[in-house]
Amino acid sequence: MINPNDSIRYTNVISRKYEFQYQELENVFNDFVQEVIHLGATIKGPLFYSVNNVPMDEVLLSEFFIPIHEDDLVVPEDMRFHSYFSVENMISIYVHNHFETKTEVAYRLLLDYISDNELEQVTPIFHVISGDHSMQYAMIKIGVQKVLNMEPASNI
Amino acid sequence: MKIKRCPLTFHNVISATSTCKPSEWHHSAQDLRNAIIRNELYGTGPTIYQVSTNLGSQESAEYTFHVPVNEPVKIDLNETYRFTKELTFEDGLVIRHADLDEDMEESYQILRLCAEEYGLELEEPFYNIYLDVYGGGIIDIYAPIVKEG
Repeated sequence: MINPNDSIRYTNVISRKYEFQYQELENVFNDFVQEVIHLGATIKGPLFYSVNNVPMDEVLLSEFFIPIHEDDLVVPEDMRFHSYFSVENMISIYVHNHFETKTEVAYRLLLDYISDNELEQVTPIFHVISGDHSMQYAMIKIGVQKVLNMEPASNI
Repeated sequence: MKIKRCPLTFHNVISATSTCKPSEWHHSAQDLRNAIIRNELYGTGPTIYQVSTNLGSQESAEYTFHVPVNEPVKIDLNETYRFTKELTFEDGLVIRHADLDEDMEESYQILRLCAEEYGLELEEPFYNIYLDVYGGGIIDIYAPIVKEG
């Protein structure tokens, strides 16, 4: 069910931050992908996005990511090109079908897993959109860290 | 052995430099990782490190670590950590060092020979980009090109 040892690792990733109404999710996806293609990139995939807030009034703060084949691309100011993008130490779970209800359940399972295992959440929730014509699925991933009794923090 | 020529870009990079014995460098890397977590940030890219050995000492070397994080940070006057909004090189050579049991110096030498062949001047120390693979690791060695011809 829950994979306790997951990560996100891609090379040549384009990203952009968005703020939008949750219902607009699919349109924002499409705009993002179209814009990246328009820059002359070839999509390698998969598309993934972070949920950076607890959605209030259904407004989502999010960052969208897409790996491409090119290792060099000039992007507009509101986009970023990362030669390598990775998030380590993640727990994850698959969802397929009935995404909306399943996603809520998946969140709950992941958050319960975190508290049951004395972990703490250290990243936003990431959704990785995968699958093909035979089946669409998504992986929901959260970066975690063992709760430690740490010495006083050395501030950055 | 495949050598690629491409730019390299990381965002919001925190760096730390320390002088230590080769057997102790992982402590410095751990310190940096822990400091990132304690400050409620998270890494968004691999750990990148550079080694300078010409300190006139066989025993220790200067290690510089770089880790991209999720957002920009303000760093007060602080001797330990530095912040770079964008760590980017317009041009460079990259080679994948896949077997960590083999001497890195051999891969460095291949890059130097390649640069010589094409009349390029490289900037050292090179950037070692550590990539986790199935619990082990491989290293992409990136050598910035500072001059051509």
